[in-house]
Amino acid sequence: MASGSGAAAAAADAEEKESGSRMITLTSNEGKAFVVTEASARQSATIRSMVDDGGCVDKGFPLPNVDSKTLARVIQYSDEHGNKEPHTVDERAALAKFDRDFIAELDADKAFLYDVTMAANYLHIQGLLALTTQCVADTIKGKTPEEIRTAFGIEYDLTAQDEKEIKEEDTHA
Amino acid sequence: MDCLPDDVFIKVLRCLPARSLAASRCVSKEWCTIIDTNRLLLPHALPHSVHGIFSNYLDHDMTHFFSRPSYSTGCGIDGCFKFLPIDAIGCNKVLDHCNGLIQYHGKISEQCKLFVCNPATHRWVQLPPFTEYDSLCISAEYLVFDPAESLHYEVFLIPDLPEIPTKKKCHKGPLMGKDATMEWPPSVHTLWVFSSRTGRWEDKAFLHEGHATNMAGTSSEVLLDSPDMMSWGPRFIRAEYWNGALNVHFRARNPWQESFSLFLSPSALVNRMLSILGAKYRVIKTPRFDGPGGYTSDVLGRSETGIYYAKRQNFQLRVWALDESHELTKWVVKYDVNLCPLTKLIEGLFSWHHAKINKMWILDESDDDDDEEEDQDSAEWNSDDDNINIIGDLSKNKEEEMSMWTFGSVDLLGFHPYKEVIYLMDLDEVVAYHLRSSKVQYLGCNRLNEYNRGMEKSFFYTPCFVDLIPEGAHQKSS
Repeated sequence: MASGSGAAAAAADAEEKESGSRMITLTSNEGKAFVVTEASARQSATIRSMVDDGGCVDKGFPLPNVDSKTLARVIQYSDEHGNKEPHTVDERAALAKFDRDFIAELDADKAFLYDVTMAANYLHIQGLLALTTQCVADTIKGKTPEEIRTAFGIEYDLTAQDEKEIKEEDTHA
Repeated sequence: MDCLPDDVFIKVLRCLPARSLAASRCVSKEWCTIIDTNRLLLPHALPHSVHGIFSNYLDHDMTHFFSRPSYSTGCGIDGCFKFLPIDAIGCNKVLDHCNGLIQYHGKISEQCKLFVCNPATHRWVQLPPFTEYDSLCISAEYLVFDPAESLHYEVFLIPDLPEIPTKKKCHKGPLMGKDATMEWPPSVHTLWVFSSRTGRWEDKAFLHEGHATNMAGTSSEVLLDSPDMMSWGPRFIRAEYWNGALNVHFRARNPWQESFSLFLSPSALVNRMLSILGAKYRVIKTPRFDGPGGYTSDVLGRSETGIYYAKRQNFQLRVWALDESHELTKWVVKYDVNLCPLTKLIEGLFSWHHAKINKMWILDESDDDDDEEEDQDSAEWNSDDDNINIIGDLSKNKEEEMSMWTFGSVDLLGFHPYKEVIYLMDLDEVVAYHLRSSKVQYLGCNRLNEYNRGMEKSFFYTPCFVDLIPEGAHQKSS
């Protein structure tokens, strides 16, 4: 890392070095503690801003909206993306493959996919959120309204009149 | 949707193509309401094509519109701003463009006024006077408008950044460095923002976030170019709005002639995530070539997948994309292009000039009337039809080297906001270069008679036919 000049830069650099080795505890809503590197935790913009705003790193961060199973999976993602930065083409390809496998596994269990999506949204993990929302969108893509209703177990609540209006509006949308 | 909260579901729906969104509207009342109230179909209804280029010149105080002639007449788009009640003579300029809206500086009875207007709907509004305007050095004014998010717009005034104290005493904005030893970037950067929602100017503080490694120093180390217009253009070059952040590109006057990007994440108009995190800003160094320097020019823009930056050194063009997927934002090289064949192609245009090559676009004040007649056959042509007027393919003659005596000065005008296309200009001839296919498309000659010190900046106009600007001559009073 290139060092910046100026007092603030030096201070920030020192803090950077110190923080590089810090560990952070995240606690699920079931009270289970997960210890992760700061680099991994910083994948989450929510935690990042709490750490930067001088939040108490030693006490750890309770996450009342995330259960243990979901948190473990989210950490699997942020470890992979936070702990090693890809430099070479091969490393980038490996990370892309990780993402593909990660999402393929989630896709097989929709309820779990939604849990991870909500956790990524709550924790503001951009990369994971983009991955999961795209995956949910892909289940909608290319389907007819009827097929979408079946896929998501949605009840048909439109009258013929409603449907006509919706279609008319659509033409000048 | 029961399994996901609305805010997350909206993010899912934003990933869908128009056809799937239309199908989703027919799924249930709830889905239809969510899609309609959040105007999710609107971005798909907007024309995503570049209809022309507004150009400002270094030695000429009027903006000119370079476009396909039929666009300035046939579609009702007025690129000459004849619908504005301004003096016919005077410094009338486009200051910024964002998704079809234009921020315009014009004079009424020799008084400078700021307008926001829409050349497609001919609607305009005069902004209320900014009381501190005269006492502050405003470096740049930028417009933010994203009809996919909201039909409201905002105007940002960026106060001067630190520079060597000059004789002309310049009152700095709050918290900006008066002292050359002050830390830069400052921890709080205050900008003035006009919002059409409130109809008022307000100052808004942006907190600095980011790593010391990205850039830091004192004011004296990050001196900017002179505020006077130099031959290499203004210090604040261009701003692009992307993903809820305004990305401002400016040039420093340090020994490396570096330039930087200022990322403003405004809280008022963007999605929930940013408003939780607050208004922040980052400063990111733009990339440079390794090795010895040479004549360079650069441009920052929004393209198909995000913020792009292109730099030319002699005959080498390199294009980077901003990778924001990691915490540490960085530039990733996307394309390397040898411009020698392009320069040859453009030189060749002069010999073809009287033959078959159509000038597709003309300048608003151009005398080249004969070109319009030539164009009759291709009346439906627009710059977004990739297969028309291809004059070459740079991938086919990569090995070509420039002979020593040829002087090329390809200007980088900017990026197509929705495609991987960069607009280049050499000897006033404008071409669209398709980065993926290496194809070169000829647009026309953008030469302004008698003025030739060069281009200050260009705006790629993508019309938008929806806005909240009041009909007719309406003036905001407060």
